[in-house]
Amino acid sequence: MWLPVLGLLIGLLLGFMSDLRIPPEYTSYLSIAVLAALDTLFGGIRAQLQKTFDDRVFVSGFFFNILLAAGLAFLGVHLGVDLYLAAIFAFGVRLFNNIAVIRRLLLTKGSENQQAERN
Amino acid sequence: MKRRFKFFIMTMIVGFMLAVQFHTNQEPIVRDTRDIWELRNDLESQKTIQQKLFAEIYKYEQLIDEYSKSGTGGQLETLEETLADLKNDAGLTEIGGHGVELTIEPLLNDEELVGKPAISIHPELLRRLINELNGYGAEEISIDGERIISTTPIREVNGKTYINDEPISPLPIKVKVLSRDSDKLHKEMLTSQSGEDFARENLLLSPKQVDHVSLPPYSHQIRVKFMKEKGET
Repeated sequence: MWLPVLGLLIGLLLGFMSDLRIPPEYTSYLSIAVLAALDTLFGGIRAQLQKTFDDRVFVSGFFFNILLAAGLAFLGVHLGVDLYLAAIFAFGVRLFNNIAVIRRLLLTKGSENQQAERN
Repeated sequence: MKRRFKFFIMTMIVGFMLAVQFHTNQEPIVRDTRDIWELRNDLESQKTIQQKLFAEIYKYEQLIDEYSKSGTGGQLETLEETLADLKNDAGLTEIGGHGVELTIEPLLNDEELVGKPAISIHPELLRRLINELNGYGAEEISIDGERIISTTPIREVNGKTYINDEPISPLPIKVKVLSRDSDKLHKEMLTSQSGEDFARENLLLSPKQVDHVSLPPYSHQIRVKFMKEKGET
């Protein structure tokens, strides 16, 4: 459980230490990529809790979603349509769904544990 | 274990992306890189502004003093004085003094070229001339007997140039400029950019220093759009 948190911290630290900045015109791509990555991450946690986790699905989903979101944003910029809104909407909905499912799974797990203790 | 390691890598990437995004959105800190001389210059200019403001405050305080001290007759007098001052500032009075007179005439006066259309002065040329004159310290300007005030329109209607909604007369026309240092203004105008611009339009702009120029008052109504009368206090 602590390993992913440690990874997050190391990533944050690396990001802050590197003093890397992205040109302002590319910030929308990065933000959408962050959203896609978060979505995949929560999807992975949910799959883990539901015991349907698959490495290949997770890793491919992670990179594929990021690339798809950035590509959609790129296409939107060139077509003059705000296509990145579609990606934000889709990922936002999925993020909320995933978190809701994780919460319910954790709650049922907790109540099961309590039941087991009483018995 | 392998699965956990993958999670670790993923979260690290997410963290990195988050940090970069955060960094990018953060405004870079703008450092003050002025050296001591620049700072001194800035201080000097601020002090000049302060002095000007103080002088203005002093002027108005004196005015208030005059209002409050003198009786009704005196108050009326002061009011009339202020009104006259304001009219003077707005350009509603005739004014005269040392100045420069610029004549605009055709550059090449080819009398044999009969049938050439009359040359008109483009409004943009006049605007540039006024800007340049103001840049060289002109105080009051009149073009072809029309006083230039802060709201004077100069525009082209059906191929004719209008100043203060009056068409300008055929060439040559005179531009009268009042200045505190008319000698300097005259010298500046001898080598001005406007001279070049006029020459490009086949017009000659010749400045002449005169002891006394007389500028007519602005003869139209000044419309005040964005001010309201203050009620009784």
